[in-house]
Amino acid sequence: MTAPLLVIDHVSKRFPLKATLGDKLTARLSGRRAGGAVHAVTDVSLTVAQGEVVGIVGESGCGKSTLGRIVSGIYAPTEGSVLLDGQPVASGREEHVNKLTTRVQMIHQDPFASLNPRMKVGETISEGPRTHGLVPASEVRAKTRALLDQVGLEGAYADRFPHQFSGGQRQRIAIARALAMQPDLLVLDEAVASLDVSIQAQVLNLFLDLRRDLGLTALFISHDLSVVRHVCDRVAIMYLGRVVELAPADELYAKPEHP
Amino acid sequence: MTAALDVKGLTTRFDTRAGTVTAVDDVSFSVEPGRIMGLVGESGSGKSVTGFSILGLIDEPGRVSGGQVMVEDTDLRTLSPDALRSMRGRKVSMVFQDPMMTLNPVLRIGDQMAMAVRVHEEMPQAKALERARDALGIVGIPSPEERLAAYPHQLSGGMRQRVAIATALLHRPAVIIADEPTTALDVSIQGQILAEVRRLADETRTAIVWITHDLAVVSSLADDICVMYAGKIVERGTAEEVIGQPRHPYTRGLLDSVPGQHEPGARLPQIPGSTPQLSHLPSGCPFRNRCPRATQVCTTLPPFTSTGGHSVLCHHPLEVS
Amino acid sequence: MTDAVTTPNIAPDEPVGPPVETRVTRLKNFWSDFRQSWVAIGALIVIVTLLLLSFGAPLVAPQDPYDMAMLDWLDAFLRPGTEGTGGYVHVLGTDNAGRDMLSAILYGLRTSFTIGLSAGALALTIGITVGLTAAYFGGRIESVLMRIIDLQLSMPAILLALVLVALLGQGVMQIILALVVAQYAYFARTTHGAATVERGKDYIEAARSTPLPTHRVLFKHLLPNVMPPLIVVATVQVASAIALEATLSFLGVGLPLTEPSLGSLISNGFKYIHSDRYWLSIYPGIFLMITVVAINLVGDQVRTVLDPRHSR
Repeated sequence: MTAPLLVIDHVSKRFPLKATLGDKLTARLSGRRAGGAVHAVTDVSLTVAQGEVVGIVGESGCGKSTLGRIVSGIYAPTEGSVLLDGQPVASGREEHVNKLTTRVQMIHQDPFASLNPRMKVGETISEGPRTHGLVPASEVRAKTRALLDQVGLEGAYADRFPHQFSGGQRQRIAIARALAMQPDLLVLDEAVASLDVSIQAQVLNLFLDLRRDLGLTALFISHDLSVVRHVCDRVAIMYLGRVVELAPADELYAKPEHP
Repeated sequence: MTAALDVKGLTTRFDTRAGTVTAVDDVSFSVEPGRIMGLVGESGSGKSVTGFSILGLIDEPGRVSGGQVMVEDTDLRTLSPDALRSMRGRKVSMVFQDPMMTLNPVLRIGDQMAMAVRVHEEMPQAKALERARDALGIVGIPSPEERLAAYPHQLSGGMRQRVAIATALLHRPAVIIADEPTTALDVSIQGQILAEVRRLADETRTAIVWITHDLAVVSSLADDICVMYAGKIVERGTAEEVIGQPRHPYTRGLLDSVPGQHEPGARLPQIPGSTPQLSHLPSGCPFRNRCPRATQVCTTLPPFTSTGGHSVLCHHPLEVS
Repeated sequence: MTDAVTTPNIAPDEPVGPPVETRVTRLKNFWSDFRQSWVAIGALIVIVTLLLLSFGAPLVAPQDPYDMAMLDWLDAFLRPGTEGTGGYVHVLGTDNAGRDMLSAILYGLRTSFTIGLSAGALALTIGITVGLTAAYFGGRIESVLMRIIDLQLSMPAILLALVLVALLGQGVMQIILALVVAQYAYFARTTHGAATVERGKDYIEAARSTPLPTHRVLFKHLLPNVMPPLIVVATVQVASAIALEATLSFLGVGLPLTEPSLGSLISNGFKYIHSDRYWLSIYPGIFLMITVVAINLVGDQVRTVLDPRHSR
């Protein structure tokens, strides 16, 4: 068996609570350190093999989105490491994180918030590959059109602004933006949660098609067990920051062991 | 039995830059005491606007331009603004998706609930607080006495929504209109609240209009279901009829596209296209350009056809097997 | 089924909304909303007229008030409406040196506009840079920058400008510099406020996680989305820069009378206001007031139109 693509190794994330001046004073006087911390993710280890889709399920506040952001290189873990092909995803800590790789791309929950409202969708899709030199300048337009086509939108829509599109169409644009970076791993954070049922099915189908055609590897974060069961190979269930259960998707349905 | 809420031909229009759009188009339904009516639709279907229109809470540039809203033999549409205000909260209440829309963050739960009581009924504070405590008890809040002294931020999202429902209950209204009240909550909390609401409808005989986009919620909660699409009710019937034997292609498509009933990894049946803009509706049946059964005749508005209480707005309804 | 399903005419997934929206149509929409207020339209017409008249002063004004050779002592203190030695009517009278007041006001207005607009533009640029930097990087950088801004905003702008002009000396450049220092803080605070809201949104996170270089996130993603409130502040600040310059000149630390601005004209005339020669001060004062009020009225309507709650 080959080495897994993504290794999440004993990752924890604490967010320091903002200490007020009063807290700092009392801490100084009593000789203790100021401010506590919120444990968002505690000691999570997980691997994702090439071509595998792993679901992460849990209720709101269980730390699943924080984990997704750590894998995407938006947050740095307080402890532990995230390695993609043996290389760290990001460096730095706390507020100043430097993302080191373009090979992990994220798709956010709310397509109304995740697209810059003042940028044409064509530019939104193409700016990443352009700044990283993934596509020669002469081919940018053609490539953008091809991507729009791939996610089921007309290439001519590249010149429009996000607010002219419906939620489902925007989520397709967000997917095209992620695919433009030719990622090895996609992180989908509740990517269909804010969509209407009929549109959700369309986007899930798109995801399934892309997975089949491109052999996508993905971390699929959702609160909806039925969605996760439908698209994932394995499912991790998170509760209060920890992974409490990890099982193949079909087994999980048979015997859910945790609330 | 007379209906607690009887809506006939309700129509609401909005004046926009793109012209006048009809957000609620000739909507009719009725809810009997103690029954829960699920008003289901996707975003932009006009389900929330219907709720606001019933209560006369439509602001410029919108206006309710026609129809009747009968609550216990009073037509809300004919009332003066003052009379309507005295009906709201007393005879008809509303529960919103975000409980903080009704809760004042700087007042204790008890104080604001007592205030809500005394707006419509003169009574001493102590008695009003008692009423508030009882209402909290009805919605299944443990140790309601202590909760009265709490501020909204001290409660969890689920608890806040229960308080909002309790507030809506204070005057034992004939009708409660609930607009996506559990959408923001976790599944397990949602389940608890749905159970309380069911019990509440049975015990207090309140008629409830439950507005939601979630078919799973209504199928477990509602007695009757209205499916809305592009401002129109396209299918109406009991929950068993609509969920079990949908007759409108749109309802069928919605039900089919829910994952979980299909082979994992298989493509889901999907409705093509996107929810239409109200300003760019096709002529005739609004669903026709997404519908697999559409024919030439669908360019004309289909009639409502009924079998028993089960009605459908379609030229080519699915056969009842 | 009786009638066969002939054409399942399923339309392609079309975008919603108007078919093509460009920056031009956005501008058109802005204009059609702006037009709703007659007061604002009137104010805009006033501003445009004043701009044309003042920058076209060499062509429009009957006299060049800078040219001492054209001034005649015999014309001093002519009442409004009298004809002078130049053979034309001094509509707004003349001053103690025989300057035609109307000409002086138009040239003065030109100076005021120049100072107001350039100070506004410079302050905007600096303010945006400071505000964006503070909001985007957060942490210690944000604390330090914003404390400086707060400190500065706690002092009256006029006081700061007075001290600076006293240090720098008189002249257009010096005044502009003083005004920029006094005003950039307002832009910085507004930018910071708007940018703190925007930086938390997903599209910024998406841009950062691509990853895109910092300058691109700042100027292509963050900046365009904080512009609307800044445009409103900018109009108000231009008006206040004009008023501030007039105040400085009136107090005698601004521009000399050889380079007339509205403030120095008012100041000059003030000496004679008790000798019934009201027109020396009153007319430049009226022009100053009209200008400032008109700019503020336009700014007010821009605020209304850009307010997201207003949009239809």
